[in-house]
Amino acid sequence: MSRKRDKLEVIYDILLNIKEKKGKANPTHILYRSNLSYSMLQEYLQDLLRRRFIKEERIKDKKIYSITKEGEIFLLKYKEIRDFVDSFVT
Amino acid sequence: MDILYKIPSWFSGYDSLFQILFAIIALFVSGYAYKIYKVSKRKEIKLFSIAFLLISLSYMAWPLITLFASFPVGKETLAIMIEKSNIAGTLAIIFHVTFFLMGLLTLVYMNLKEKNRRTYALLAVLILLIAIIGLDKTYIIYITSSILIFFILYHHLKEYRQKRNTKMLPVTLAFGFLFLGSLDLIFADTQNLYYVGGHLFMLIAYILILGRLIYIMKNVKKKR
Repeated sequence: MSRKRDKLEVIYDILLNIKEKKGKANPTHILYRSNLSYSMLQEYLQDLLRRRFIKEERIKDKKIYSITKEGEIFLLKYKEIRDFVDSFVT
Repeated sequence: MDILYKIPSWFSGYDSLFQILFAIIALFVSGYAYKIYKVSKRKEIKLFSIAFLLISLSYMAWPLITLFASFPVGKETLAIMIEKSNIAGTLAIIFHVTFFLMGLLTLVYMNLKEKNRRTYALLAVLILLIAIIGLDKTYIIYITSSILIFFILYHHLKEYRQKRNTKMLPVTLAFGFLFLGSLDLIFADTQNLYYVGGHLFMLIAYILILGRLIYIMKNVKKKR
C-alpha cells in the first residue's frame, strides 16, 4: 500500500505535472496525473494560485494552468524545503 | 527584591558567551527559515522564523541582565536580583522574559491545528501577564517556559512516533535538552550549579539545531 502524501508533496507533484507538460496543462490532465479527487484538486489549484505558483488562463473557453517563475523555483528548491520542514516544522 | 538566579563566580562571563552564541544560532535559524518561507510560502515556516527571531532577541538581552542586575552574594556566587529601582536591569529582564516566552508561544501556536489571530492574541496576553507577575515570583517564568517547551517537545515526539522520520530526531532531542535547561533554571535561585547546568543543556540543544541546519545546507550544495 502506498503511503499518504502530505500537502508539500502534492503541491510538488502538481507543479511537476504541469512543468512536464511543457509548462501548461488543463485540469483534466492534472487530475489524471496527480491522483486527487476533483474537489481536492480544486482546493489545491486555488492554493497554488494564491501562492502565485501557477497562473490560470482561458483558451477557447477552457481553463489552462501554467507554471510561474515562483512555481519553478519551488520545484528547484523542493529538496531543501522538504528537509527543512521534516527537520524543524514537522 | 527577588533572586532570579545564582551564578558561580567562575562561570560569570562564560554565561554571556553562551547567551551570545545562542542568540547567533537562533538568528541564523530564523534567517534560514525566512529564506525557505520566501520560496515555499508556507505560513508555518513564517511563524517558525518569527519564533526564532523573538528567541534570538531574548538571548541578546540576557547578557545585559548579568551586566546591570548582578550582585555578589558571598565569595563564590553572584546573584541576579530584580530590584524595581534598577531600571536598566529590570528592563533587560522584562525584555528577555517577554521575547523568550513570546517566541515559545509562537512555536506552540505553530503546532496547533486550529490557527486564528484571536487565539494567538489571547495566549499572548496571558503570557505577558505571566511575565509581569513573574517579576515578583521568578520561578513562575521558568515554570511557564518549561510548560511551553514541554508542549513543543510532546508534539515533536508524537510526530516522530507517527512518521518514524529520522530527520526529526536532532530537533526533537534539542527540544528535550531545552526542556531540561528550562527545568534547571527553575531551581537556579537556590543553587548556583543549576544555572551552569541549564546553560550546558541549552548549549547541547543549540548545537543539535545548528548541526541539523548545516547538514541541510551541505546536502543542497552536494546536489548542485
